Parts: sequence; structure tokens; C-alpha cells
Amino acid sequence: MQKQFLELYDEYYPKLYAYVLMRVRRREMAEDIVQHSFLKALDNIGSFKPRRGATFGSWLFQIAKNELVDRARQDSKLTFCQTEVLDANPTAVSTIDKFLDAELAAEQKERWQKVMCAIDLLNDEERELITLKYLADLPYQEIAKTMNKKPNTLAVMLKRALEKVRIDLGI
Amino acid sequence: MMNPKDTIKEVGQAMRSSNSGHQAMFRARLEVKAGEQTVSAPRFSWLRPSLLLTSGVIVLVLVIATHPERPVPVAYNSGPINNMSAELGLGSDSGGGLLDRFDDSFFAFSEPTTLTQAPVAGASPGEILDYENEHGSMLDVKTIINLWSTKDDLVTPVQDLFESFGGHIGGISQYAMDQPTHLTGLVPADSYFLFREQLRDLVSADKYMTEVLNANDLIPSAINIEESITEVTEVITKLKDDIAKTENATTKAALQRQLDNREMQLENLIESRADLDENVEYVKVTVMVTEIPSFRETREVYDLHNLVMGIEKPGSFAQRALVNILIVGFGALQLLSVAIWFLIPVAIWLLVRRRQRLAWKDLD
Repeated sequence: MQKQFLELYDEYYPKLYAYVLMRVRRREMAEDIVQHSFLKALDNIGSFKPRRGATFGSWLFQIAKNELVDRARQDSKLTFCQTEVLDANPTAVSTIDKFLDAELAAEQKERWQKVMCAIDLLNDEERELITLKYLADLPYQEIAKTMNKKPNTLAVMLKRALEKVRIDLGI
Repeated sequence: MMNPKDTIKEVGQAMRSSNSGHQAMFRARLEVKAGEQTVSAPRFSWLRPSLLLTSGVIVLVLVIATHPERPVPVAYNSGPINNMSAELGLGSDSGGGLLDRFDDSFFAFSEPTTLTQAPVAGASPGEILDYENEHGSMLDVKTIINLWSTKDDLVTPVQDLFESFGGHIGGISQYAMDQPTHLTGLVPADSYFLFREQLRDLVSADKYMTEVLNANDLIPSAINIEESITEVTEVITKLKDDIAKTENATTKAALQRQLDNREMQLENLIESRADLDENVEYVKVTVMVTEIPSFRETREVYDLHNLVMGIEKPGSFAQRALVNILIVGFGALQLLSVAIWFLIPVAIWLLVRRRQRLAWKDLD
């Protein structure tokens, strides 16, 4: 059991961290939530019943979502859309390099920043979908379970969200 | 500009790999905690109820199919009174209550019945039974009725039948649940044939198929006497006609000798019948009522019956067809159970999984 759970941990930690980080926009808080989610999953692994297409991933992400709701600390004012937010709240600006704690080339930073800003402008569901699909890199089966939507609906929604991003970027 | 989807994937890759330090640190802590956990997540637990039910059905089917078999009455054609003519109207010194032997074993039927002393004419059925219990029976008749209904369905009507003929039930024996029931009683000899016919009617009116076995060996001496009288009378009539038509003296003399022999034979037969009428007031009848608890056993009884009786296919066509239909239907029901509880859920699961995969493939 220990071995299997650690294998799942290795697989899902990066995915869950990316998802939670995108939601809370704070590294320490993201680490804390991810940590709590895994501990809770470990404590309740006996009650996990993989039925009706549910996977460990979808179950774990549901635990993390509940944790996020419990904390209610998600700060929607933190955004990558620097130019729009600067005027209202200069301290709430998040840049992609700070966010990732990484050194980025100017061109890459600008490109990433624009795309992330476009994602921030999407509605909650679309942003959730893109986060789960491309940032957390979850398979569709788990996204469908996590978002409680049918795959066909997700397909339409994803297509529409990417289209919005393209329009926002002027492509 | 680069495709936004690819850019988002790049950011995602960077995000997922941006915190390997914490991941490794927390893994060490989790490793300790996970080692303390002993609960395992059961895989395929959703299949457990289905498998349990399937196993239950299979066990039930096996229990029914291997139902303990009741001893088959192998003495179907062991005519107990095939030599009855030798006993009719005769006293014998070999006693022994047949009723006692009936109670001990069905196979005692096959022993020839002997007569100790003729019952007193006019005695009541109860007195005759008491007498026979002590001195033995003067005439025993066995009728085996093999039917599919429950014993309770038939025991009471058979009793009523005895009584409606002024007969008397001496005893009803039932050894065990799966053993035949014996009804032993007396029927007035002069109404025995009618009694037998009504017994047959009773059996044939049973709501299930019925089979009357070994009925033709009932008091064969009486039957033989009657048949022989009829036959000899016909021969005598024919001989008389032939004699009247024949002009050849030699032939006529030969026919006359034959006629004399036949007339002597007829006189002997009539005398035997008189003895029978004089001495036999009641016929002791034992009706053995059996039931068939399972179709499998029914088939085996028939097989044995074939073997013993030399009958190729016992039972009517409808009876055999019904047995076959029920056996095939039972088998189909078993297959259906397996399909419902195992194959169909697996098929549905595979179908759904395939559809989901196709849907996700389309999305990618």
C-alpha cells in the first residue's frame, strides 16, 4: 500500500500543485493545501471506491477543491493582467517569473504573461478547465469527474475558451 | 505568435516542475505516514456483489441438480402374483402376514402370496384385515402408481376411493419424506375391476402427467380365467360351426375330439371361476404412491423403467415433451442467470469504457 500510494504521490503532486497554485497564486499556501490534501487522501484511502469511472486523481482533486473552499482564501484580485490591475491595485500584480520563481528570458516572459492574462479573463469554468487540462495536465477522464461534466460538454467548452484566448491575444 | 495552447502547455510544464524541493521533502514525511497505514483499497470491489450473487445462483443450481435421489422402485415388473392361479381357492400351510412384510420393504411384494385359510364370507373388512395380519392374505394385489403430484394430493382421494367401494384402508405407511407411501386396504372382489378402473381414472385426472405401471399384472389369474373362458368359448363355437359344415367323416371326428377337449377345458375354467367367486370376497390392494421430486430423477426413473420393462419410451408423447422442455428450460434459466449476473455487466462496462476512450480521443 505504501509503495502504491507513493507512486500516486509522485504522479499527482506536480499536477495538484500546479492546479492549486493557479487557484491561490501563493506558493506557501499552495504547498500547504497540497500537503493537506495528500494527508487527507492517505487517511481516507480505505473509503475511496473507484466506481463509475472515478480515479484516484479525480478523488484527490476533489479533496483539494474542498480544502480550497474551506480556506476561502482565494484572492481573485491577483492576476497576470498587469496593465489592467495596476491602476486599481498595484500591489496585487503577479508576474509570471515571480509566480514561478524562475528566471525567464524577456521574450518568453512577455509571451507567457500575455497568455496567462488571457486565461485570467476567462470565466471561472473555462479557466478551471484550461488549468486542469494544460497546467495540471490531467487526462479528460479525470477532468470530467472533477468538474462533473460530460466529455462532450468539456470539448465544446475547451474549444470556446481557447478561441477566447486567441481573440484576446489578437491571433 | 506561437499557438496559445502550446504556450499554456509550456507554462504548465514550468509550474509542475517548479516545486520539486517541497515535493521531495513532503514525500519523505508521507513515506513514514504511509508505512503506518494498513488499509488497502480493494480493487474490483464493485464486482463483488455480482460475483457473490452469481456464485449463489450456481450453488443453488448445483444443489437442485444434485438433489438426493430417492430409491427407485426397481420391482416394477416383479409380478407378485404371476402364479396366482395356483393359489386361488386353495388353502396353504405357509403363513406369514404380508402386511408385515410390506411394512419392512417394498421388495417383499415380489414374493408369491400364499393362502392359509379363506376368510369367512360376510366378515367385515376390519375383521378380515385382522385375520390376515395373523394368518396371511388370501390374495394380494399390487398397484404401483407413479405420479408427479405431491403425495398429499393423491393419498386422500385414494382413501376415499377405497371407502366408496365398501373397502377399508388397513394402513398408510410412509417411511421418510422421499420414500413412497403405501396404502393397503381391502376392496370387495366383485367390484375390484371397477375399483381398478376408477383408480386409473383418478391417476389420469391428476393435473400433472401420470404413469400407471405394472397395472396389467393385477390378479392375473382372474383375468386369465375370464380371458380364457372367452377364448375357449369362441373356439368351441367355431369348432361347432366347422363340424356342422364338414361332411368328411374323418375330419368331423377329429374336430369333434378337439371340441371335446375344449369343452373339458371350459368346464375346468368355469370351475376355477366358481372357486374364485366362492373363496375370494375381498381383494387386498396396496397402492404405492410415489412422487418425483426432480426432473432429473424423473428421467432416471424412466430410464430404469425402460430397462426393466423393455419399453422403449415410457410415457405419452406429451409427457416426454414436457419433461424435455422443462429440462431444457431449466438449463436455459441457468445460462440466463450467468449472463445476467456476469456477462452483461462486463459487456456494458467494456462498451462504456470504449465509448469514453473514443470521446476522449476526439477531444485530444
